[in-house]
Amino acid sequence: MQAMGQSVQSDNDRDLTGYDWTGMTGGIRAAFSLPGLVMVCSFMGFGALIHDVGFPLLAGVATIVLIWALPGQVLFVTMWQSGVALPLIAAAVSLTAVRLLPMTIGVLAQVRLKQASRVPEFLLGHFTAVTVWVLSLTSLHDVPAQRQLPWLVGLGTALMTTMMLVVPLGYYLADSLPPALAAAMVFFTPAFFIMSLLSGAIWRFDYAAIVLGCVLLPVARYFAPDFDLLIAGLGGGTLAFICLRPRRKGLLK
Amino acid sequence: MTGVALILAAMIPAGFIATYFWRAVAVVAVTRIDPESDVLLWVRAVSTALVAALVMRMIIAPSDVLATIATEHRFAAVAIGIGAFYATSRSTQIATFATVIALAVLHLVLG
Repeated sequence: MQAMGQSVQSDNDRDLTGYDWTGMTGGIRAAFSLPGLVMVCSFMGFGALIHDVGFPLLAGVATIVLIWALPGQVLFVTMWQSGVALPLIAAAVSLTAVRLLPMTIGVLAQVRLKQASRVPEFLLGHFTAVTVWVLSLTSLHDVPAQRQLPWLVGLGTALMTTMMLVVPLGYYLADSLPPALAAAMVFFTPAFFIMSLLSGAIWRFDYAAIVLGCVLLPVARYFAPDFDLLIAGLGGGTLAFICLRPRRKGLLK
Repeated sequence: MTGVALILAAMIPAGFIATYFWRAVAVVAVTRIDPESDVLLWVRAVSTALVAALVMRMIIAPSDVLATIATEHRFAAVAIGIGAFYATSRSTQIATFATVIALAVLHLVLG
C-alpha cells in the first residue's frame, strides 16, 4: 500500500543522491494554513497556561525549541510547577514522546532519498510532531521527491518560529483578557490533543487506549497523585494493547 | 543559578533528550524497523493513553484560569467537540474550534 504522498512518485525518484533545498519555500508557505492556525491557537493556550501556573516565559519559549511536542511541553511545565522529581518528569515526557517514533518513521519513509546524506533526516526528525505529520500526509502530492524533505524542514522551521512569537502573545493576553476568554484560550490545548488522538486512531485498541487513559487518570490520581499520568498511561495503554491487539496490519505505511 | 537557568538545565535531560531520543531512534531505525511490530504498537498504545490522561487531568484538575469554568461545562464542551469531529467526517481543525467555542458559549449562557 502506498502512502498518499508517494502516489505520483516513481521508485527511481527515491534513488536521487541529493536534496533540493529550494523546496523549503513551499513548506514555509504551507505553515500558513488551517492546521497551522489550530496550532497557533493551541500554543497561545500554552502561553496562557504557563502564565496561569507561574512558569517563566523565557523557559516556556525554550520548551518550543528543545521539546517541540506540545503534550511533552505541557507535562514538563505542569509537573515542574507541582515540584515533581526530575526523573519522573523525564519519564512522563519521554513516554508521551514515544508517539513520535512511529510518526517520524512514517514521515521519513515517505520523503527520504535512499542514496542521500542521512544528516538532514536527523534535522527533520526534530521537527516531526503532529502538525508536520498531518501536513506530510495531505500536502506532498505535487512536491518532487528531492524537494519533499526540505519542504517539511521549511514547514517545521516556519511553524517553530511562529510558535515562539505566539507563546509570549498568549502569555500576555492571559493577563488582559476576561477570565472566560482566557480559559477558552487555555482549552485549545487539550481540545487539540484529544482531536489529534481521535484523528490518529486506526485500530480499536487506539480508541481503547484513549478511553482507558481518561478513565484511569482520576483513579491513579486518587491513590498516587505524583504518578497519576504514568500509571494511567502505562496501565491504560498496556491493557488496551493486551485486550485488543490488532490482527489486521499494513494500515500504517 | 537563577530560576530560568535552573529550569533550562533541567530541561536538557528531562525535556530535550527525553523527547529527541525517540526521534533519533526513528531516524536510525527507519531503514529496518517495522512500524507495526508488537513492541511499537504497545508503545503507541501507552503513548496514546498518556496523552488522553493528560487531557483528562487538564479537565478534572484545571489550572486557575480554567477553573473559572464549571467542570460539567468542560466535559460538555469536549463531548460537543467529539460530536463535531464525527459530524465533519473527522476534521481535527473544526472539532478543535468547536470544542473551544462550545466551552465559551456554555460558560456565558449557563454561567
